[in-house]
Amino acid sequence: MRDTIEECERAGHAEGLAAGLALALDGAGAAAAPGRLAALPRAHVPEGAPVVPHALAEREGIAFVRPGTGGALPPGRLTALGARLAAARLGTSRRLIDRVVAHVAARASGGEPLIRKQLVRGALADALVTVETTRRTLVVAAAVGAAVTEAHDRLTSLDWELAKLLGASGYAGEGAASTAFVSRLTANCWVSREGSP
Amino acid sequence: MNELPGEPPHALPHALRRLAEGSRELAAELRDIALAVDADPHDSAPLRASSALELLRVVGTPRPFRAHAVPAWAEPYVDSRLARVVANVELARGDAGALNACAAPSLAGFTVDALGDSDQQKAFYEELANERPWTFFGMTERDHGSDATAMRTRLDPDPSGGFLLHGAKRYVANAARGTIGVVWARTGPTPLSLRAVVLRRPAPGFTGAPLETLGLRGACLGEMAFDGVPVPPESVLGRHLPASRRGLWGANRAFGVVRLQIAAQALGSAFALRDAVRALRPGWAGHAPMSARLAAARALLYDLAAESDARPDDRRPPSLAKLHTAALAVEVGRWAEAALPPGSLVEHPLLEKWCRDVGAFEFMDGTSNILRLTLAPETTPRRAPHRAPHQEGS
Ligand SMILES: Cc1cc2nc3c(=O)[nH]c(=O)nc-3n(C[C@H](O)[C@H](O)[C@H](O)COP(=O)(O)OP(=O)(O)OC[C@H]3O[C@@H](n4cnc5c(N)ncnc54)[C@H](O)[C@@H]3O)c2cc1C
Repeated sequence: MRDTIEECERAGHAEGLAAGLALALDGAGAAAAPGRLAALPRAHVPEGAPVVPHALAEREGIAFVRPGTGGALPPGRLTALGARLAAARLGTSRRLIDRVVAHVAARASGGEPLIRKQLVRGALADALVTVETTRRTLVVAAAVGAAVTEAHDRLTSLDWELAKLLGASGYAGEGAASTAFVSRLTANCWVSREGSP
Repeated sequence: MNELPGEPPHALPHALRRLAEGSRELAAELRDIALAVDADPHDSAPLRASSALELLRVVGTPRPFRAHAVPAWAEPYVDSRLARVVANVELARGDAGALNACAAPSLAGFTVDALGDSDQQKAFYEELANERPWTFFGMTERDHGSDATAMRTRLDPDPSGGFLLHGAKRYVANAARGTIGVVWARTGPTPLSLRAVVLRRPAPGFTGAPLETLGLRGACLGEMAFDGVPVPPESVLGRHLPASRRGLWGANRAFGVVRLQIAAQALGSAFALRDAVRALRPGWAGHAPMSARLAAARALLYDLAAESDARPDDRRPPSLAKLHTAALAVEVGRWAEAALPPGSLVEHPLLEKWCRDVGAFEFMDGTSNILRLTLAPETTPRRAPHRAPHQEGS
């Protein structure tokens, strides 16, 4: 499992969300999704499959597809898929960290680079801790559904804490917040939760 | 939680309860155009056709300058910060994106109120009444956001009379479609030399372009460039004021109102998300802890708005309000996601949209870090910290 997790993180980091998702799915198609929509790499969508249009996702090479009939994955395999997807998302979060560090190093406020502001340093330090703890969680608890779900929630929160550091430049344009949002929507399609209807 | 979905909040004077109820009715109309505004915020047809937006435009205009009367329930809106907060929570509960598409005086209006002389105010509001334009407020630049006092846009004397404006602004609402607004520029090196000018479009050398935005797309963010735009002396605000109050410090009070309004819109959006979960899970009692937090946030926001009415120069009550509600709204989006089945976000376009929208409040009128710096005590307080007068940046 460790190798697969590492591989998914590497793909997410080096090649982006769609590539990470492709690895995480490991051949699973839309029918495997636990809910009424599956997130697939655009390139994997079968011809004629009913796609829900979503401009932001399209930009990331992701499509939302109605699963049609077929059985969702059994819980154990779905949890393993969720862990691989979390690893891919972790890779994209690390991309975001790279971008944020470059941004706050180059930007000044009150004559001082943002990267030297203590609140910014604190946020970046917390982000690094989240990366390391989430990675270990995915290695040691890839079979524990609730732990994997929590890892996804932490990644959603991490991405937003990072996107905030980009200011409006991350929220506007084809900004980082939009990539992070598609990452969240993708997880929302594949992660099932205890207690939700 | 025993609050019924349609029930007006408790502990408000009768006039404000009526304002809340009236706002709630308008909110339903905002909801009707929410997805259309998000899909194509630059399509003015649904906006011009909306009677709710038309009413809000006039409600948000100071009484002496209104083109027509407003219903009695809406009258208190301009009387206090608390009233604005009460109304904005309810309106944003309909849809904050559509609310931000309103062609209202907004921040440009507050600035003209604070810094304009009576002729400038009259000219500005007459144009608003006649043309019903979208307005812009240009402060942020590509390289200077929180650090706005370091802005580079310049207002230089024009040898042939008046001034010339050079520079650019970015992430400004209505930057491309607004035909009148306020732009900040510097006349010299110090923060005291920042001045606001009223700008109209078209003008030679004045261009603008829209920017894609993740959420709150009704605000129509964009960028503006000024290549020697002529500015007549009568368009420079604050001429009649002492040097210390002509610029940013003179407008400080207005910024407090806006911060509270944004805090209210964040909370209204959070309520909208909670309401959506309740509608999708009828009979589910699990929303109670979050509903309690939202009710508490509303009580806090009302208290802070009332405090701010009493001490309009104290930047801390509005800062505390926005610091809390902007984060809470993002959190409620995640809570909604967790409370619903997989795939629900894309499946329910309003939910998806509101999860994008709530991020915007972080950046509008002070990021969370800037609010933290405003709020944190700098010394051992002699009096209770929330009682001490304080100004941001002082
Ligand atoms: C929907 C929306 C509408 C807007 N409307 C307008 C408008 O109409 N007119 C207008 O002029 N602008 C507008 N803005 C821009 C907004 O005012 C800026 O985004 C805001 O001032 C922050 O500036 P910035 O984006 O450049 O971020 P920056 O100031 O570059 O901040 C980047 C990050 O660094 C942090 N940071 C900055 N300084 C410090 C510090 N001293 N200590 C610790 N951390 C710090 C910030 O919290 C943030 O996380 C709008 C933005 C949005 C998203």
